[in-house]
Amino acid sequence: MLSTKNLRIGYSTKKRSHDILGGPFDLQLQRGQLVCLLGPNGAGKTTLLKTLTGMLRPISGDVYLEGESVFNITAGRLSRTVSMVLTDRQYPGNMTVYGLVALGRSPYTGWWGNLSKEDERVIRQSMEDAGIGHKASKFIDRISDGERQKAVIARALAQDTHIVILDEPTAHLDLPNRTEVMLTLKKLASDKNKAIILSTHDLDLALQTADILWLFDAKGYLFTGVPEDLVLNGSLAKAFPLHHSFFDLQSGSFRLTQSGNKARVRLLASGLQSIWIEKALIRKGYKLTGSEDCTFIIQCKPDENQYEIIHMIQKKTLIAGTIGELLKIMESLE
Amino acid sequence: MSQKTNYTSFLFLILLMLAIFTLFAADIMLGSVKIPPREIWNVLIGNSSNVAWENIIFKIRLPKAITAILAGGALAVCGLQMQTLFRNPLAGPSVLGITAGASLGVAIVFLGSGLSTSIYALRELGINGSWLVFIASTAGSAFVLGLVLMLSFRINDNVILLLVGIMVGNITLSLVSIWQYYSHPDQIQDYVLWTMGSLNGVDRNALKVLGIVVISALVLSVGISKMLNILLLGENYARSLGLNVRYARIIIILSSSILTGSVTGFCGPIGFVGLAVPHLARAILKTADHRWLTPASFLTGAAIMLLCDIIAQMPGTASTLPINAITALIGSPVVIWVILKRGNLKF
Repeated sequence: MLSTKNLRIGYSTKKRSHDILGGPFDLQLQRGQLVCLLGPNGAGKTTLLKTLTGMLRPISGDVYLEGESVFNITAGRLSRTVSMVLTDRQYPGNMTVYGLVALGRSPYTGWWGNLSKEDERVIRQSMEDAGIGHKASKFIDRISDGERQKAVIARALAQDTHIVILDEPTAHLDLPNRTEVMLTLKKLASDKNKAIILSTHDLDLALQTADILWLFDAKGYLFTGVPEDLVLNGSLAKAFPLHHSFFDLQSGSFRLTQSGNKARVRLLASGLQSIWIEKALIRKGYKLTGSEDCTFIIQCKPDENQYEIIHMIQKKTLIAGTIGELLKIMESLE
Repeated sequence: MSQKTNYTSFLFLILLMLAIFTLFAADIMLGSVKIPPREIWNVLIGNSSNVAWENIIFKIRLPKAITAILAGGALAVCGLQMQTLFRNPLAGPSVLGITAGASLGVAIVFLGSGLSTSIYALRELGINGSWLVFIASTAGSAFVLGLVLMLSFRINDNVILLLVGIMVGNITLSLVSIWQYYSHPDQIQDYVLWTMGSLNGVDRNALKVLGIVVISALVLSVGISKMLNILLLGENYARSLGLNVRYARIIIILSSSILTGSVTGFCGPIGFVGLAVPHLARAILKTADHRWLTPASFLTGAAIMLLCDIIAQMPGTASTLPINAITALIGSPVVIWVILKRGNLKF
C-alpha cells in the first residue's frame, strides 16, 4: 500500500545544509493495520507523517503509494487515497459538525460543492463510525475537546480513503476519550480494511491497541515491529532512555524510579490490598523488605478491612482503617 | 446545511432584498432638497417637467444610491474573503493594507501627473478617466496584498501576518504622506477630500465601470465558494483535500483587490463595512458556508451602506457628513454586539 525507500526526513534549512531528523527508512504499511508512531518530543514524528503524505519533501529517498511516488500523484488523486487529521486546533465559528464532516467530501463534489445522496450517506456513516452522529447539528466550537476530535476524525473518514494519517489524535483528551478514539480507530482499520497511522505519546494505550509500532528514538532511528517483539527485544527501553522511570516488563508499563530513603517496612499482606499498599509505600519513599530487620511491620486483615501497624523499636501497635490513615500513623511514629 | 437552515437562510436573503429596496427608495427620497414622493415617482417614470428635480434625481441621488449598494456589497464580500483567507476575524480590506494600496494607486493618479489630472480633469476624460482610477487603485491594492501574501509564505502565524499587513499598510500610507508633503496644495486638497470617502464622486460613466467590475468580481466570488469553504479548515487541510492552495490564494487576492480597489478608487477608503458586515451575516445566518455567506454579506453590506448614506445626509438639513465617520459609527457597535452576543469573534 504505502512504502518508503531510503527515506531521509528533515528540513532543508539553507542551500546544501539540511536538518536531517532521521533515516534512511524502509517502511511498509499494509491495509487493515493500525500503526502507532511513538517517540520523544522533537524526534520527527510530525515530519515523518508530513513526508509520508507528500506535504513535505524528503531530504532523500522516496515515498511510494502502490508503486507510484507520492510526489508525482496529483493533489486531487492523492486526496482520494490519503486523508489526514492534523494537530491544527483552530476552528471556524458557525460551522456544524455535519458541515465540517461534509467538507471531507470535497474531493468528490463538483465546483459548487453540492452533495449527492451518496455523499450524504457517507457523511452520516462517517459520523456514526466516529461516534459523533448525535452531535451532527452542533457547532464545532461549542462541543467538548473529545467530541471535536471525533468530528475531525469523522471528516477524515468522509474523505473515504484507504490510508488515514493522524497526528496526535489523542492529545489534550482525558483517558476515557483517548481510549475511545483509539478503539474507534482500531475498529476502523480492521472493519473497513484501512491502513491507519497515528502518532501518539500514549505508550500504554499504543501497546494495547496497535498492530504495529513505529518507534522513534532521539537519534532518529526507527524501530518497527509488533509491540510485544519491541518490548522483548529491548527496543522500547532503547527508544525511551529514562532517568526517573523504567519500563516494567512485568506490567508492560512505565514506572517511576522511586528513591526511597525512609524506614524499612515489612509488608504481610496478599492480593489486591498488598499491591496497592506497596504502591503507596513506595510512593512515600519507604523501602520494602522481606527480612525481620525492619522498622515497621504492616499486617493486613482482609476480613476486618483494617491494617495493623507495628513499630519494632517503639514496640507500639496501631490500627488504621484506610491506607491514608496508615500513612499518617507511620509518619507520626517516625 | 440541513433543509431547515437552507430555508431560513433563503428567507433572510429575501428579507434583505426587501430592506435594500426600502432603503434605496428612502435614500432617493431624502436629501437636502425636499422633493415630494409623488413627484419623485413622476420623475422616475419620465412624467415630470421640473428639470432641477430631474437633475437631482438622475444625476445625484440615483447614482449615489446605486454606488452605495455596489460599494457596501463589494467591501463586505472582500472582508469575508480576507477573513477566510487569513483565518482571522479581524481581517478586512482596511486592516490588511488593501485600502492603503488603493490609496497609493490613487495618489499616483492625483498627485503624480501634475495639476492637469486632478479629479475634475479626470471627469473631463470621461470613461477613460474612470478606468484609469480603477486600474490604478486595483493595481495598488493587488500590489500591497500580493506583498502581504508573499510575506505570508514565510509566516505561519495568522496574528503575526495580520500585524505585518498593518505594517505594510502603514508604510504605504506614510509614503503617500511624504509625497503629499511635497505636492501642490490644490492636488492635496483633491486627495484629502478623496481620503474622507464619498459616494457622491461617482458619475454615470464611473458608475458603469464600477458596476461592471463589481458585478464580475461578485460572480467570481460566488463561483469560488467551495474553495473558500475548504480554506476555512486551514491550508494544510485544504491541501490534503486536493485544493491547489497557491492557485486559490491568487484567485482570492485577485477578486478581493478588484472589489476593494475599484470601490476605494471611486469612493475613497471606506472603513469598517468590510470588517463588520461579514460578522453580522455570520451571526444572523449561523453558517460558515460561503455559498450563503457571500450573497448575504453583499446584501447586508449594501443595506448598511444605504443606511449610512441616509444618515450621512442628515435629512432635513443642508449639510452632509463624511461617509467614513458614519460607517465607523455604525460598524463598531456591530462588532461589539457580535462579540457580546456570541462571546467571541470567529472567522
